[in-house]
Amino acid sequence: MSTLLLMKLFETTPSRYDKGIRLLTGGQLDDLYDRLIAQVKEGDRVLDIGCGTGALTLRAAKKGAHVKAIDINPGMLDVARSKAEAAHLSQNINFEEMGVAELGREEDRSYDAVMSGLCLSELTEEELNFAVKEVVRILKPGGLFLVADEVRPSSFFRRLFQGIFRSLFKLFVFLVSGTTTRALKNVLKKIEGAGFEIVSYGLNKSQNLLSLAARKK
Amino acid sequence: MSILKYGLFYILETLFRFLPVPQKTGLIKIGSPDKNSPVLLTGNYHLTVLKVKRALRGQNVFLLVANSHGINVWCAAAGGHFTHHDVISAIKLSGIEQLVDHRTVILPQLAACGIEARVIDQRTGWKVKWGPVDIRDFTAYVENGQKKTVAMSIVRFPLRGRLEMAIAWAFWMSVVFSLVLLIVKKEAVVPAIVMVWLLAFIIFPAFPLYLPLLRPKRQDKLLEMRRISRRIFLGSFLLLVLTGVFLYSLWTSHLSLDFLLFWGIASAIAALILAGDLGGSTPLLISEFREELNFRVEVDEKKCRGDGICGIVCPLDCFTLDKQKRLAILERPDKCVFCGACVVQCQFDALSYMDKKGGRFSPDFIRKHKVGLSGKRKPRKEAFPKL
Repeated sequence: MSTLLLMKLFETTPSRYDKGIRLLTGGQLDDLYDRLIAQVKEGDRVLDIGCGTGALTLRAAKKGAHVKAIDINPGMLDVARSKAEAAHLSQNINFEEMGVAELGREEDRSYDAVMSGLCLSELTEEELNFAVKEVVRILKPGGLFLVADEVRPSSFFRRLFQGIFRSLFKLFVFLVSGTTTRALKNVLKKIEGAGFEIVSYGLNKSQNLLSLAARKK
Repeated sequence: MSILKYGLFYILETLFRFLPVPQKTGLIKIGSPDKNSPVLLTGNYHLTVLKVKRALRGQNVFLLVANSHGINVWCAAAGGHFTHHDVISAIKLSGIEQLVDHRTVILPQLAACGIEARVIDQRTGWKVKWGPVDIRDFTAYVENGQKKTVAMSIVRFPLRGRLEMAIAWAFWMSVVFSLVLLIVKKEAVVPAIVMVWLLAFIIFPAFPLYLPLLRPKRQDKLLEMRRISRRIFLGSFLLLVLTGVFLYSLWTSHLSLDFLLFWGIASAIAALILAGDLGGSTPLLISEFREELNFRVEVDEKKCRGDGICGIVCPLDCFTLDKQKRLAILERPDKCVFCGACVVQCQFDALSYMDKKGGRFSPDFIRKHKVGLSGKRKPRKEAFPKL
């Protein structure tokens, strides 16, 4: 019965993350990830920004891509590492604990694809702007930027609905699993403005999950 | 910012104290800082930033607001929501590197339990200095040559802090009690709210009176004494509250079984919520729900070089430095709240948590899982180096 008890919930996040996200998105995210990864080819060099428990990383590695997976949460990385080991994919994946602010260390034009699932929405505005700029720099010409994330619906009523209903739902899921998500604003504009052409863009039925593939011009 | 606006936010955010309130991250210039001005960093809890700005009036400093997810720096750092990655982001992306000639950032001391100074240095070249616990000591800290006195390193629970805590608890409890009673027993809503506020305003302001009981000094039986004293405290508080209900019913001649039963149960629930884990609501005690209640911090004398960082980051002044032997001594373990700051910051890995049976949490384990050990309640058995 204290703030620290609530913190206990926060802290257990990594081990419960997968379950929580599945609850939050009703499994939609898995299909979305599968469709995104369809664009990754064998032998590609891929960067996963905010790999979390490795949902996108493992899918890409399974297709034979060489993945560098970064995240700032060591607990999440632990879960991802053990999942990669269990799937015998460790040799294709290089995990590193680092944030987007350190993308400057990556070489120019060194990746065929950069992907990010439910991470861009976690970034601060400065981090997001910087990340998009850096992704352009480190992608090879024609390289792909693959994004799956939560967005704010464009229609007012859906926003209202999401604001009321989904926040209650999120509170419940948060209490059970210690997991929640935030919504992204204006991401399309930002990515186009940075020098990408949008290859595909999709929203789910409730217009709050976005999947996006953009090609570096 | 006008005092009126500040007051409004202060009241609102005290009422909703347990909820995060994020604000925009980035660089704020205070006064007219130049290339040699100090760089100070804090979290992005809205009220924190307001308070820091107020305390820094008249100074010339760069203030970096880093992403602590809208939570105060201590809770955020302890829960893993405010780490060196957030500090690195603030340093790299705020443009501060073009504005100053030096490479020293002053961080809030209470964030030491979750931010690894070493990693910041490795990845950015910026050195970390741990500032005072209370930002209102900042002017004195600068005048002292950016050195802290012991008083600046200690966390306190002054009357104002206790009243804030009482208000925060009373507010959300009144909301919950009212919602339940609106369905069950409408006429009891107002008296229940009065009761909740009364209890909160008894238990928190009176905290210093019973703190000695809750923090036994006996080192040989510290853990047992801690448990026993907390039971005594909770038992006597419950008894006091129930007596209060009885006396009230006598005084207002409401002496019926119904009345006694209803208000007896209601007040006992309120008392249990407020006092059941008092330690968790105060900065001076460890929560009942934390496994670390059964731990102790150990200093490995072979590894310790006596550089004193543990004393600098300890918010409860648990350590004494033996300057001749160059050794840190955990002299006041009764005060330790297991924030983990000393374990995380020691560059020689000389500190660790030990449980009752001799199981040990290594420094790297604490660094990774932060103060609550990420729900990992069973210590990993690692061979403890023989002394």
